[in-house]
Amino acid sequence: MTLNRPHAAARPFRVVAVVTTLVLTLAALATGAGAGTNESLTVGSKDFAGAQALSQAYGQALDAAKFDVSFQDDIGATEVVYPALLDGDLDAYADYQGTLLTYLGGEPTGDSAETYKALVAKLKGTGIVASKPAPAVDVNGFYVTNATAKKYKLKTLSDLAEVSDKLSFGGPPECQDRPLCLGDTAQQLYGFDFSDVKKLDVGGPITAQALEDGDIDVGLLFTGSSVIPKGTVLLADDKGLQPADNPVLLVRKDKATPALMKVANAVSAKLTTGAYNKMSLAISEDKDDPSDAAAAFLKSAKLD
Amino acid sequence: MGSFLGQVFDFFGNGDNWQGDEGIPTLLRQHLQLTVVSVLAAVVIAVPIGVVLGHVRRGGALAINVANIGRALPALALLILAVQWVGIGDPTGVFAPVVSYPAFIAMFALAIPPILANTYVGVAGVDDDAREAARGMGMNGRQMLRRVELPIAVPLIMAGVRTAAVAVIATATLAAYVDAGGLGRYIVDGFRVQDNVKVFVGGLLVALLAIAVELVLAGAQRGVTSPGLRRRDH
Repeated sequence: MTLNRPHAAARPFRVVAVVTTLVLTLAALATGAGAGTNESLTVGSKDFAGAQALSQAYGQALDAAKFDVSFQDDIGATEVVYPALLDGDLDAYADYQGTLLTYLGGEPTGDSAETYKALVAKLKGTGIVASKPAPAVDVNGFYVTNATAKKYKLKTLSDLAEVSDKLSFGGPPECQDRPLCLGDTAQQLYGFDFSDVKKLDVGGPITAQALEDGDIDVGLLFTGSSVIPKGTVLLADDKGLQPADNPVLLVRKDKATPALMKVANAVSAKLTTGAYNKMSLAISEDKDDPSDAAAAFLKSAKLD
Repeated sequence: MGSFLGQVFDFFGNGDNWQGDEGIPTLLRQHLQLTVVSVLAAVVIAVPIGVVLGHVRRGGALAINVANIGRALPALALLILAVQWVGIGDPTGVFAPVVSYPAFIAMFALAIPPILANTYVGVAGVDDDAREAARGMGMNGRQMLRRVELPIAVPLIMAGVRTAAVAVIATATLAAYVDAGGLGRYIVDGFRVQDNVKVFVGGLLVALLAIAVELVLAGAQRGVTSPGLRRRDH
């Protein structure tokens, strides 16, 4: 877990903010009463490049809009981060609406507006609200090498299902618990039956390396945020397993003032797949700090 | 708390957790295999080097410092680097722990320093009076090493092996990050999906395994200690 520093331009403001917070906290402690400001925000993030970029983008935009933002980056999967938000350890984090809706027991579809409506309905009464979804899309992608695709004549996931018993698979450790990934046998839309399922990393370098080396035949990477190895091909999701997994910022209701949601929605509006992909690759390929990648995006979107 | 422990008992009581690729016996065997193979390899490399350097009483500081790189470099970093160098390998069958090179490399590097340091110190630290007495009895260098220095150093060498084995057992949980098996599977998977019972069971089994191996090696250490040294308490 790392705490990311804000980009250099914001530093003088940060010093003032830190000192002010310190004084206010001490004052509050001294009088024994909470000051009652909703301005301080702890923004968390899931643990892969794309999700870190999102949380930094939303968080830094809020920081620029005079909220006192602190970051807790790189925490874990939805199963870990969402409960932390519910418990109040975090005030906000960015997730993907289809993934979250599945986690909450709902069924996302390929339609973004429909999925968002279902998510809002599920969140009712939980004390959590969601910003408007961004147009960016980042879903689970099943990748094979060109050689494998040629050998088995693979174009779609239905093609893959027919020969899956001859192939090995590698992806995130929780893949078999996730209906949108492999799921358990009963949940499978395609009915994959891989000869071996390797538990590797979450859309990251180990999976990509194993796919390149031929240690696995099929690799699960993220279409919008993973570094896709050269010479591999994405198999088409012909039955529409992957939902409209657009990013949203989740905020605790007690912090979700109209001013805050306005900033979050403004960020969502500018987050296209292109902008999102650029941030993700800056982090995972060029090894940029997530805070720097997000700062560059906000600057180009004039949100800084 | 009661319900948490109850869930832990349920986990052990569930027959599904005692069979298959991710059952307790399989993971325990993989964990033990990786530990035995990497510690044995470290013994084969580190003990001779330590013995020779200790006998001539030279170069020990340098060798120990070089070996300590293995201790300073985080095992997780080494594991991930090794994946970039040699790939994840294909850890199946009896030779799984060796075939899964990244996990083996990381554990081997971790096991070297305590064994090398203890061997060197054990041999080099033999009392000068004992060495002079051996020479006075007409022993040459090799005889002195075999009949005086090594027997006296054995308890310390074994202590190094014990330290290495326990460190490797605890750290081999990382192997699960590259699908190299072992009890880390429960910890990594449980942590990903907030299944605290699974994480706890994984940690508990690793701790029990470490204690069991420690006891066995302590017995072995007593067994190989020369009778002349045994009365002194170590």
